[in-house]
Amino acid sequence: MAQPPETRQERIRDALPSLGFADPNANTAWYLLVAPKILLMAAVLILPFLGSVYISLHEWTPLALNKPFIGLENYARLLSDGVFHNALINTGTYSLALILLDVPIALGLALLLDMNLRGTRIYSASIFLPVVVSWVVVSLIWSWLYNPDYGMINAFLSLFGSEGLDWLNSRDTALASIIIMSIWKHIGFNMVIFLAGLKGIPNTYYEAATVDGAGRWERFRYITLPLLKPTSFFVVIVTLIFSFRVFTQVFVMTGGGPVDSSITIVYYFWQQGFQEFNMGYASAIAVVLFVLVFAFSILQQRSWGGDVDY
Amino acid sequence: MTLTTEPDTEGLEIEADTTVGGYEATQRKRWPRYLAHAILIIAVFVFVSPFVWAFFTSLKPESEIFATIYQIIPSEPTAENYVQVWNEQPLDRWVMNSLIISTGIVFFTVLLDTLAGYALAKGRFRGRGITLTLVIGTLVIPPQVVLVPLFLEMNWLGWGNTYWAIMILFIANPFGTFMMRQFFMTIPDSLLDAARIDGCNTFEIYTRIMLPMAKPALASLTVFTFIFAWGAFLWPLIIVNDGAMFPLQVGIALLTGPYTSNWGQLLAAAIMAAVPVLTAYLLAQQTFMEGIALSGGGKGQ
Repeated sequence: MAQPPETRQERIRDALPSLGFADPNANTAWYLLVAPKILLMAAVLILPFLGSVYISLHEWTPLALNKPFIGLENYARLLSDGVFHNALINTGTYSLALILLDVPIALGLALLLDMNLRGTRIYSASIFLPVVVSWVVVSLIWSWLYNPDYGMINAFLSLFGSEGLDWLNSRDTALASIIIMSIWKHIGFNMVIFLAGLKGIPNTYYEAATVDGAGRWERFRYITLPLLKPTSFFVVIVTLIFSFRVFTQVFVMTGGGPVDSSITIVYYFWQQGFQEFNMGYASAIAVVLFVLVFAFSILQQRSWGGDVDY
Repeated sequence: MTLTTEPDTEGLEIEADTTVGGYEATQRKRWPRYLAHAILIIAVFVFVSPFVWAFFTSLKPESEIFATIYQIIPSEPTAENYVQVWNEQPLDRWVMNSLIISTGIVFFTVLLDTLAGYALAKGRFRGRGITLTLVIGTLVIPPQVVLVPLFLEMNWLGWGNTYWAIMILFIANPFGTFMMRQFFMTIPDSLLDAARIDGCNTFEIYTRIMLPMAKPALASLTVFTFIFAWGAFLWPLIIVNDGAMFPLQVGIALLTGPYTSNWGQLLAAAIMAAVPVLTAYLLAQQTFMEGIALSGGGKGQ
């Protein structure tokens, strides 16, 4: 009986060391698959993270020969640093504003889009448009919109007889201007996630409720809202985590000013670390940022871990 | 979804006044739909008009930009702002840098994340639990926190001002690994066992079964990663100080200094920076939105 001729591929395979790829239970093969990512993660995220904690305990300027250990002094300095307090308050305000305005409006828009009106695709594509454009471009465009003399926003306000505001150039409105623009930029992101959540609710639920005589409000209150809870939770947590990292729009639009009125944690971190080269101090700020975000991140992972079945 | 059977609604007189849940509106109550249309049309105006207005401004000569705000549409549109900023600044170089960086990030992210995600979902190897814990633990670290030591590390390696240095932070991000792992978990083991019996080894299962089945998740990860890579700002700003190596975003953002009041050219540069992503978006709008929704759901909806 003639053996079937070996294909070229099989001959090559037999010539190579197997490395355990043939055996589903061999450790080596799996290690080879997972190693590149894990090693990269270790080198780029995990070790530098530990490095941040280490550097934060030192007075660390890159060119100095001496980088003395100073314990928790950097952290003690943060406690009495007025600019850092501003940064904390501004970042907190920014996050709170996004949660209170961005999330509900995104949900509202998602509900409207879920009505399957004619033109829904154009509506959703337009609202989502700012999400795909980069923060830098959007920040530049809005800096122009906010221009007190020639900008569209003041021109629009003047139609109603308002004198308009000084937007980015005033201590009272700089942070608010950044918040408004960021909500505008980010809302489509949350809207799309809400929309996916809404689409995931089976129609039969609504049909059954309608047969039972439930009105629009009752269906929303007793079907949509409870079933949308995991999605809402996810949206809130992710919005929080991202809002704590606000940087680009501050860099482009205000540079943290006027007089630190729109400075944020990451902006102050960048200033200290890469403008002043106080890397020890900057690392302390970074560690504080980590601690602040940590709690939210744990909550986020809870929301991923749990499986939702309808 | 557990309920799949459609209830038999034939012959039932349902007086639905909305389309929530897929019902047609009856003649009785049309106003909620009109109201919804009205709100959405205002929304479209709010979200699109800034781009349109910036575009119109970029077509105006300087004299007209600062003449009156009520002349929204340029009276004599001109491309001179575009020509000037293109000639004065290395925009072509920056676009190329950004394309190389974004493509590299997407390629390596998809490659490494699918490999690792596959191993973590389907592998039976010693230390899998601890590896998974490591990936999930790393998700908690905001990338900003590692920038100081990473900056020192890159300079120590002599990688300052290289594409690799910019890309590496984004490729290392564990989010995609986690996402792909969650996705691969949903592929039944019986399929893998059948492939084993047919003679596939561990790697062939990856190329012949896992990757083809993961197409929606791959599209999602690609789009998601691309948007982030294209818009990346803080890390390139830190690690690159050579103008020729700037990604587009950094180059454009730093124009605000020299072009403080030159809004026509500044906006022309911004519009040009937005065009590549906008084109991709208009061509594959559905993929973009599904991409966000899928990665947003974290577990494939």
